[in-house]
Amino acid sequence: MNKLYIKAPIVLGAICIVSAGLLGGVNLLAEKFGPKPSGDAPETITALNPNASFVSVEGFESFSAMGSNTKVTIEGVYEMKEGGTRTGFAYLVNSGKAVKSDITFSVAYQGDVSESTVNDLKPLAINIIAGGDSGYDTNIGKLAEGIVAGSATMNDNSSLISGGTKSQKWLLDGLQVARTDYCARWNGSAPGPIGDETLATIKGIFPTAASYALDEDFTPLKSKSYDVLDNQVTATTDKRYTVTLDDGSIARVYEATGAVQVSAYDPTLLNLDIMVGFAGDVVEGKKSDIQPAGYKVISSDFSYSQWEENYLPGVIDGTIDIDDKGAIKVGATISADMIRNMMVAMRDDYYKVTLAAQKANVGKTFETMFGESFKSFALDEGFTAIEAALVGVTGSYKIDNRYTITLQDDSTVKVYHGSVSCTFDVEGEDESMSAKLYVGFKGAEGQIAATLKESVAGFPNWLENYLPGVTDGSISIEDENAALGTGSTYSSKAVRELLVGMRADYLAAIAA
Amino acid sequence: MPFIVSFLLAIISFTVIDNVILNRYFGICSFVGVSNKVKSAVGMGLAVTFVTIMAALVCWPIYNFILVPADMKYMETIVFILVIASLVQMVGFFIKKKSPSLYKSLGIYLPLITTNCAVLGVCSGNVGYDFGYAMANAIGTSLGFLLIIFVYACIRVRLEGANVPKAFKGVPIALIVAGLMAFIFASLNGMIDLGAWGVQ
Amino acid sequence: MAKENKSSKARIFLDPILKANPLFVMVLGTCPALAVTASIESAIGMGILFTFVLFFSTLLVSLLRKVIPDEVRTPAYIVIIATFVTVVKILTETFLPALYNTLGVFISLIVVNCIVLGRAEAFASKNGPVDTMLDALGNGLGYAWAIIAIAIVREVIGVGTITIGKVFTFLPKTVIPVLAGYSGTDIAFNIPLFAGSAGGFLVLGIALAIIAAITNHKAAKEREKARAAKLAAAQAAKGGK
Repeated sequence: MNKLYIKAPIVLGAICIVSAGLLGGVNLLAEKFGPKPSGDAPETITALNPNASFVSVEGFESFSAMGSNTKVTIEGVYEMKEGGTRTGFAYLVNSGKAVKSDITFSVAYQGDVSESTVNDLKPLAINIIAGGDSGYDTNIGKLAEGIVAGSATMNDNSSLISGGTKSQKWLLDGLQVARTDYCARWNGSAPGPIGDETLATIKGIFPTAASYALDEDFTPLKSKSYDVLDNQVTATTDKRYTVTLDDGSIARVYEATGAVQVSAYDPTLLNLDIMVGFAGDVVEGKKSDIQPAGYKVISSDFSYSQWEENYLPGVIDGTIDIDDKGAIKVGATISADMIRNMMVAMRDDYYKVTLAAQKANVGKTFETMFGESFKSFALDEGFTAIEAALVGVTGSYKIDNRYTITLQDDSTVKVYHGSVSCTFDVEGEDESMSAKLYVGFKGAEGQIAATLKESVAGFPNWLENYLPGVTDGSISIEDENAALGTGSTYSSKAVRELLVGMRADYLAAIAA
Repeated sequence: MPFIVSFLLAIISFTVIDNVILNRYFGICSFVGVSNKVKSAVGMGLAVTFVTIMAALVCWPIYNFILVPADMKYMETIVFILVIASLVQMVGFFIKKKSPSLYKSLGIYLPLITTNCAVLGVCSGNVGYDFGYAMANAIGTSLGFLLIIFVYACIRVRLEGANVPKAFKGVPIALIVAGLMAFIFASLNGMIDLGAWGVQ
Repeated sequence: MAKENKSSKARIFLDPILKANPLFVMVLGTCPALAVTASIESAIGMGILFTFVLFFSTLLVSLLRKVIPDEVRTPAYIVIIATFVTVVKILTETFLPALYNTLGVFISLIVVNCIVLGRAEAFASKNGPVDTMLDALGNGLGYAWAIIAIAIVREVIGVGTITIGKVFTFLPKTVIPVLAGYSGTDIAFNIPLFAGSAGGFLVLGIALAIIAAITNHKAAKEREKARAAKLAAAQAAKGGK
């Protein structure tokens, strides 16, 4: 009996220890040599679908894309598999990167999708990892739950919950970027970075941006404002990009950085890095008419961006004048003032550089128009711009400038720089046309000497069907219903009225 | 939904809808071998109930507070079965001391509770769920087991008088009857959907 | 003597396959026989895993049979069996996750499978390793073919098709239509009842009934033979007198 009491525990204990050791060993071997289906996916991804395994997609590089509201960075893509077959993809997404209260979340999409059905696809699961408007971050979770359940939509802003809508909009941006990638990836292509980040940001300001270049000869601008303790703060506009848009016109985007102390009790400086875009012609002497076309915040330390909610939108849509120091709303005076001063500096620079370019361009334009017979030009200072509504079609035209061109044979030509835009209905569809033209008139009758198109958007058929004919005289400018050529009736009529307006001024000018 | 309501619904779900014998296929051996005496069948069921609930009560904390932190989740099977075996031994001693007649009538079925798939099945099934789920599972499963054992014992009594073909006598007819019962219970499928209730 | 040995070794291996089939004759291990037989692939998987566990645990028990004291043999066997079950679990989870997900908790439940404990107790503890290995292989094979047979009936009649590659993902996924699933047609002669939970009970019940009938018939024949022999002997004795 005694022996048993000793032997039994020893034997049992030995068996237990050996088995534990054996199992520990097998476990280690399995972890080492086993294929790691969910090995490298973080919990935030695997939590999206406990039944599936997630493997990081090979050769993936993090890329960014512009959403409607902010920049979205895809930080990870994982292939989702159940039972060995691929069922979908999961994404690790950051919306609003480098801007405070950016959100990070993971989302899984599964199932078939094609370009035509992509807007119907809703996520399998969303996992909000971090971020969200402080104080309202539960709303972003509720929105995410609603989207997964199907009670809220991710396709527009109709399901936003009041309170913290900014980060909710960012969530939607992120979901949409991930879904677009999913559609492409599921159907076989592996989309990657969409150009470079700068172009992506610039596209957020000017969606039709085709290319850009950094202006090497740009000297940084300094703008001054005051912080909460009335200390002078200097912000710098470091970079200027010249952006070429789809239609050939030029826009400029400035990038500025500044830091300011906004609270008397907290000495931390809040940094801001912002890009502001300007586009369009400038008129000499009318600097204050220039407004920013759009902006994108690159990074910001501001938790409450009241300058972004109360000030900038008004500037963009024209209701707030950046020259008006008093237009800054309470609650963001210091930060908005800094931005205002930045934008004033940018605007002044834009005016300067664009005017110079316009003047330089204009010279080149005349060289192109008249070729070797061109000698010199001068702007008619006394000319006031003419604006009128079109008669035969909906729209208007504007004549901005008049130049007197001296040719080699000392004869003069008056060249008008004008623009026309109109809208019309073609087979039930709304179409539009806008164009900028240089038209030169000579002689006592107001003959057209030369024309040059600066830019055209919309219906361009009149360029071939009407303008050459009216220039060389084969089509009479007086004739309202001249053979206009099919496919350009309305647009040609609009151009005709512009030409008539220019010619009327020409005849008045030479008579004077 | 308040916890108590979910808890009760879960118990009902495990008892009737996701029945341990008819749906989950646990405890068949003891089911087909159950005697035709309703009393001993119920006694067996009660013993299984007790062991199941106790085992779940012991195994869940051991798994969540010892094995998981020590990163030894793979020891789950060994630890659970040892707990169950020891519990059965202890219950055996207890019954032997307190009620030798019950011990005698249970006979071989008592140690057989150790190999009853239901007990280990419940403990393993509680892995990854919270304590509320674990208890609902244990209680519901045992009640379900008891229910089916009792019903079958009653049917068995009737079967005694029936003219069962020779080949079917014994285990085959027990299985056929269980199959019919499963068929009936299957119509309850999906009545209570616990969703992710209790998932850790 | 050698012939005896050989035939007895052969008997150890062959008996459990037919005559002493653990499922159909001894009626042990019924729980997995109902749970994993809905698909042929999972039955094959369970058969393999079961044989593996049975083989190694009984071998170890046999090797240690003189060391383990009698009073603690049950817990000792349980630990040994549980160890190999866990080994199988870890390996399956790592290398064949589809099989692991399909069999689920029933891999763990091999440890309470009466067959394993039964063979350890009844045979391995009393016999040498070679015999034990043969016995394990025989029982494993016997159990495997039994559950595969049930699975074939349940999948072919219940679902109508045979699916390959769903559990053993290294095989190409194919669906062989038998009673249903012919592409382009609506032919479906399958009886879904057999694929469901009730089906398991019914198929096993009917199978056991068939076995019982065969056994009864054989036994009846034996009895008939014996009686005839007895009668003949009695008549001969009578006639001889």
